[in-house]
Amino acid sequence: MIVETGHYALVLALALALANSILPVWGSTTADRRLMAVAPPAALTGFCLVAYAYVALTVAHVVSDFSLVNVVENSHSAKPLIYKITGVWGNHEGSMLLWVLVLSLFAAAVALFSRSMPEDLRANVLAVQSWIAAAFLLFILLTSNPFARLAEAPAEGNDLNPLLQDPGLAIHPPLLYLGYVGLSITYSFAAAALISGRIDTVFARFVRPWTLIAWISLTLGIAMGSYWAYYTLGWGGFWFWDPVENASLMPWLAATALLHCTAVMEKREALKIWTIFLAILAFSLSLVGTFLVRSGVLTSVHSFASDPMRGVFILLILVIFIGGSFALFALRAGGLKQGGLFAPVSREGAIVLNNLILTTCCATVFTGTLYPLALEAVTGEKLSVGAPFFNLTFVPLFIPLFILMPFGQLLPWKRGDVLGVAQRLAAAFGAALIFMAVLAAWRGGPAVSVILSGVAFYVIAGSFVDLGRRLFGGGISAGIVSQRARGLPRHTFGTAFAHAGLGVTLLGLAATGWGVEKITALKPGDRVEIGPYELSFESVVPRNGPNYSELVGRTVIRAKGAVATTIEPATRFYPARGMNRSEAGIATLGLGQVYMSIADVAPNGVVNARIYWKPLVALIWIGALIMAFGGCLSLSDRSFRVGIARRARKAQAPSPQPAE
Amino acid sequence: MMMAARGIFLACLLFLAPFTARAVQPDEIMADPRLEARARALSAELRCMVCERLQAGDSDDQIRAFLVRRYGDFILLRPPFTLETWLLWGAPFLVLLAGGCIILIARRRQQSFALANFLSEAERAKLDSLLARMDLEAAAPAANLCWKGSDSVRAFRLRLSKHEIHLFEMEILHDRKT
Repeated sequence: MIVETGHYALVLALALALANSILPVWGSTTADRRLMAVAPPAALTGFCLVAYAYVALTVAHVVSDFSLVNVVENSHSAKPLIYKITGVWGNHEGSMLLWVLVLSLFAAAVALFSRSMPEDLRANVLAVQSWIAAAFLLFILLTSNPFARLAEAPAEGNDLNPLLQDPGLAIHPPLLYLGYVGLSITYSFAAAALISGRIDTVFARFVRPWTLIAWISLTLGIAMGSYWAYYTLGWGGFWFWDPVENASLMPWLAATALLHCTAVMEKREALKIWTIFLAILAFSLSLVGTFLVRSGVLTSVHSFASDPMRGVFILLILVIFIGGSFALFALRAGGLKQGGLFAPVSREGAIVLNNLILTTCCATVFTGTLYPLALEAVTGEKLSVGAPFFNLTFVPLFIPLFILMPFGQLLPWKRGDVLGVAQRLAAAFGAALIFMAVLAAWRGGPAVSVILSGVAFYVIAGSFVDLGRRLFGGGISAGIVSQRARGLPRHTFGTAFAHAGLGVTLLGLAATGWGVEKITALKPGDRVEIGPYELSFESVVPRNGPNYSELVGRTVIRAKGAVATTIEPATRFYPARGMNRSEAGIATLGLGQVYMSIADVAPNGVVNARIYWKPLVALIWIGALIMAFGGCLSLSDRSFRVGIARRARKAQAPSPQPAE
Repeated sequence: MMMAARGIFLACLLFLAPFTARAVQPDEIMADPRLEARARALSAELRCMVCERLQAGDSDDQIRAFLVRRYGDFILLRPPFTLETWLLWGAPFLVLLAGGCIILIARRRQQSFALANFLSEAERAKLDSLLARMDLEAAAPAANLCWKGSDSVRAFRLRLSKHEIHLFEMEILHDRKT
């Protein structure tokens, strides 16, 4: 019964979204406040309905209701509860439902938290959000109904793909969707601003926090996905330039560019046309990503769909929303007034350069991902575009960005002086050179690793130069410094941490060059040296999990004779699907990791083992955490908490306080 | 995580290179251990093209050419630069170039627009005096420099270098601030 009510709630949500697509826009064009006032409660109700449908599907999964096709195909009664809950989005239908849930969540958040927004802007934003919701609800109901019933329910389900039975599934998709779909809000803002023709600093101020929220989630989501791939796929790789990964990287690049140029638009009222363009582009790339992953154009673990009807439907949504918004953009952009002036060497100029490079990076990933598909469609010729292509094109583009990052932070608005900034960065630069020399003498190794480590060091040090000067410039005493720290806006700290985080990630990436790998057959009692550690392979023990059986290779890691830790790499067998999965044994020692995975366990206990020592590898993901932390710091800044200034002013207006 | 095409391709690689010292690269190992086992069993029954060629003393380019002759460009993870892929390889440069041009054009438009629309009477006088100081007056008939409308601005631009315009603009901005 709850399943049917869930289905019904979804249909109601569609009807509501359709109504909410039209009424607020009508209201804003005829200046009818009652019609505009429809939008917020409708957005909230829409969210409640989709959330109800989502809960209904979750309940069906939790109680293993095998009369549902979706549950039969993706669940099993013996599956642990956590994977019954997360398995809801571990399949095509459920993940589309999560997509729409996040979409309506953002609409509801705008309805709740943007009360101080101009009425017509808010009405239009929510209306555009409803257009997207309506399109995707229609998609779910027509092509991907998660509530489809079976006439005769089987006694048992087919279980979830073992690769997805992992805590990673609990965190990665929701975070990624918060980012991906969160960009819909920036799109809706851009479209609403184009409709109402009001594109000014107010727009930039309101769109910034939402962009930042989406960016933080996307950063964490991508990092989490990369770590998940790292520990489940069993060979220790963390980024494969796989189309599905690229699909999430493209919106991230666009969102990063957008984040920077909204700052220019808010502070200086410049780059208006470009900001709107990027806001549309960022979500368009999210839609392209959704198309790539959901249409079955690419076949991978993520592409559960193989129904061409779905592909065509998403393509249609893609064409309407991307085409429509760019047409509107072309119509309105010409009439935009030019904003504040700035010299080429200035904070604005640096951000323009940042945007140029990020957009080029984004275009490179886009062509690299879609070129093989396009070429095959046009000429029938098959082509492989793999990691070597991206390493050759993407990396040379990104290195100048790293070099320029600290410059941008130090340049003042309007007009700056390169030499002066270079002088202030000289210390960071010199320290990086010394760091490189020490690394080269101590570790040797590939020149690329040494150079990239130097760049990373420079970025990390350079990120804090501005902050350091502001805190410690002139006299230094604890009191003064803490007073200054309190006086500085939090987004200054946020910028420093976010930039430094990128440097930390780069350091982790650079250090992969010093990694050691061994692929060898091991029998119990064998010892292997790997990097600074000695591993002894003790025994192979069979064990039983809730819905799998596994063979665990107990291995003790010793550092200079003393036992450091024990790892338990395993191969698991899931009988429901008859599938194997390897579970890597990972020990984090310092910032590096010993990584071991085993396969082909013979009856006499001999295994094929792949063992790696990966120095500083944890920095790759720690860097992402630092970036997200920087983002959160900025988000907590007063200037980002939209509407506070306005409310404070309103409160003050009737009774002005006397000056002290 | 892996595309089927990539899987097949990696399997191909495995067939081709089972006996060299670093035969199995970490990223060539398949995610599913069962597929991995099958790939290895298959590769044990296939010749190692790359190893044979290496032992025959072929250069890297010769080996690559040999593989492409047999299996087409599809076997290369780094696509060659051909008529079909020039757009792929050229895309980053084209976008960078187009972006650079757009920035330059936008800048010029912005400057002339700003000079034409944002100068107050006092600022125009100031600009005139600056101009006089640079002794361009002799070269520029006063009639051409009335500071109204875009034609005169264009004329102005023709006579001054970009750097000089920038100086004017900055000086005026500076005045506004103080």
